[in-house]
Amino acid sequence: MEAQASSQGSAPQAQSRAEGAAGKTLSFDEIAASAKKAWDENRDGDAIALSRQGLAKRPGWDAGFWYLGTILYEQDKYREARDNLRHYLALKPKQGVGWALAGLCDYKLREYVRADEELQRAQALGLEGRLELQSSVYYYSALLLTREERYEESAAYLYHLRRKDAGLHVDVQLEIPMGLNALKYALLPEELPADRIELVRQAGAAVFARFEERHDEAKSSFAQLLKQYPDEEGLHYQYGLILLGEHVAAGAGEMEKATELSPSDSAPHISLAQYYLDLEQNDKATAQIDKALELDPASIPARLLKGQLLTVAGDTAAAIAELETTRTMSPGDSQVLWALMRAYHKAGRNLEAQRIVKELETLGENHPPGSNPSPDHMPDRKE
Amino acid sequence: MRIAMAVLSASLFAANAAPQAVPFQQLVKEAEAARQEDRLPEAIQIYQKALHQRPDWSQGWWWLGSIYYDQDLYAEARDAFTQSVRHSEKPMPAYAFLGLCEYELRDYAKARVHLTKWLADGAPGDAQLADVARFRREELLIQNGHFLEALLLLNQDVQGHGPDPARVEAMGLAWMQIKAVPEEYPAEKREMVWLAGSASAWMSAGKMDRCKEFLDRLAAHYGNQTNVHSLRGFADESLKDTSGAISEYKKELEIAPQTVEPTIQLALLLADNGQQEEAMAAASRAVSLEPANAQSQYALGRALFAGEKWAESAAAFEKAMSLAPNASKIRFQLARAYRKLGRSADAKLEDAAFETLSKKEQGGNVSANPAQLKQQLQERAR
Repeated sequence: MEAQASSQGSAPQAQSRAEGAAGKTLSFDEIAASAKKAWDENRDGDAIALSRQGLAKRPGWDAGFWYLGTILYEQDKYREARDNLRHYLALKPKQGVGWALAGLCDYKLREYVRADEELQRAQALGLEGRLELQSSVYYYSALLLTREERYEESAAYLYHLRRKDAGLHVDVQLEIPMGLNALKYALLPEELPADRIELVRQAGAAVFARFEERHDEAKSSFAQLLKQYPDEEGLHYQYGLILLGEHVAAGAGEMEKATELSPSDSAPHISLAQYYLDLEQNDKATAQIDKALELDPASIPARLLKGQLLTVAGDTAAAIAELETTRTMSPGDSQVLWALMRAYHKAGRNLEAQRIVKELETLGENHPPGSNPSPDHMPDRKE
Repeated sequence: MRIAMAVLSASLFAANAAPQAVPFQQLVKEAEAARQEDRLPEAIQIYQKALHQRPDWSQGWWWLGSIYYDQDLYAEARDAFTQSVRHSEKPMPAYAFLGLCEYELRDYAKARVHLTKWLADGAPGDAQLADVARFRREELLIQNGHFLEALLLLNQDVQGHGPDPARVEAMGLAWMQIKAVPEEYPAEKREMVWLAGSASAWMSAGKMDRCKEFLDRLAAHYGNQTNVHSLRGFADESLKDTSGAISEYKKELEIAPQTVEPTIQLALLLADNGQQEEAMAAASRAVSLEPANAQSQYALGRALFAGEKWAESAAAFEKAMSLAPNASKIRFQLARAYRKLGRSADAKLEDAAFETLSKKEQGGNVSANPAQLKQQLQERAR
């Protein structure tokens, strides 16, 4: 899946006519105008030659770098494209689209840490409503976040891409990226060993079935997969999420198996805590969340739940302290802000609660999905 | 892995300042103003004009390189930093930035030279620079096959910062002995590298339960690959599980019988465990594989000592010492052998050498000796 960088897409047409009329030396303005025309008309060869001529005359010509960067990107010449885009971004550092293309180039060049930084920056600056590019940025961000073991943030991107109403589309299957995420394989799809492609694909499909509320299909898929792969912790965890909504003992049993296979994973404990909190079994919820925090003190979902539990228990001072700390760890996380607002409200600190409401309003709905991941640890509940 | 150059103080170059002709001084002022006001394209132009007048102005090259570096324009930054170091008389962070630019440009040989030079000059610069530059050097150590040295340094990093994806990957490459930087190793090895690196990083962070989870996943999928059981053996050693470690090293040698490292480790563990005959067999095999390896001779000395063959043991330790004169542990064992032989004066000399050398090792210096590196790594993992 590739993003279209410019308005063009076809192959170059002809050799450069950069020199223009025979014997005449073109001015910079003439070259720039010709380069733009060539770029607009998809005459890539001409546009490249003219851009290089223009840059030789005027090294700070941002459009020249842009033409070169976008054309070379579309020609899969990622290193050259990236270098030109960097020059462009040095002159136009607020251009989100430029950062997006630089990030996609760096992904192709396997400079993953940098690619992730650039894609995040692109999202922060905005992509000018270019949905195709936004889809690519979300897709590759999701892959990179999984590779960095930031599974919740990655899942949020994948769910967002899957939603039909989001208006985004990628022409690749999302099942493998989602399967990698669900099974906690910190790999890119191209790094997945061949002997597990089918497991990962089916796991991803089952997660999407659950996400799209095709519960019977999801349940049956996970049950089938577990027969084949009983030692996959992620399968037990995902199956447990479904079962918790129907039959607490069976769901808890799957979570238990997940923790046996991966005792250091906090996710099953967080899910159980959420489930017990929903059932108002606060002692059990507290025990699970304390275990989760023991395993992963920096877990935002665990800290959020801890704050919510303290609020429910009436210890609003401790809840506010917990949630304020969590807020500093995950700025702009609307779930944390909501929980904090409720804690302030319960404590009678209404002015502070109102301030949080205003903050939530300014956050809006345009922040990237990964900045506020969906709570994948939430068990499914049947009404 | 980028760092903001702006954090580095202009005072680094205060000593280089000298009276200038008026036009040049004016340019300097204008360039500084443009830089501080974030008018970077303009600042670049003014610095270039000033440097045209005074090409030996090291500080100007520095700032020019800094601006380019912050913009990810590494070729331009490299050229500017090259001029900066050429015209500067004192050690400075420009060598680190030069090395970092060369790394980004995938000119790894030069990057290694300049990062090493920066370290030799006392690693000038702030903590953020040190963090990035040291890590890049560790990656280059791995690319050059200095796996143990890299692991020891990465181990220190992880103990300082906790595991992060980049260091996990580097540790995995080092443990799996893949001579490559992360951008250039085969994608199909990623899972093995990630699992090995995660195990290693969690071991460094003192989370042995988590380490074991990754080791089990590693063995389940890659148990027939070289170095996997050596890593498991190393983890068992860190947990003082001698029989587990012996079993893992034996498995490693079933896969790669000609490798000396696990043979040595096996010999040492067997000697410690009182299995003298097996220890002798393993140590003799290590010596036959690599007679000029100090660690092979050391293992033989230990096996002979365990078999109460004092004179032969001392002879093996002496050979080991001649190969690695700065390894404290060899001197310690040699002193023990001399005492058994009644050579008290020689034993005292070796004891003194041990004291001196072990203090140096505790001082945090990274040894160039593989035996010491392994020992240091083991001790720090514990």
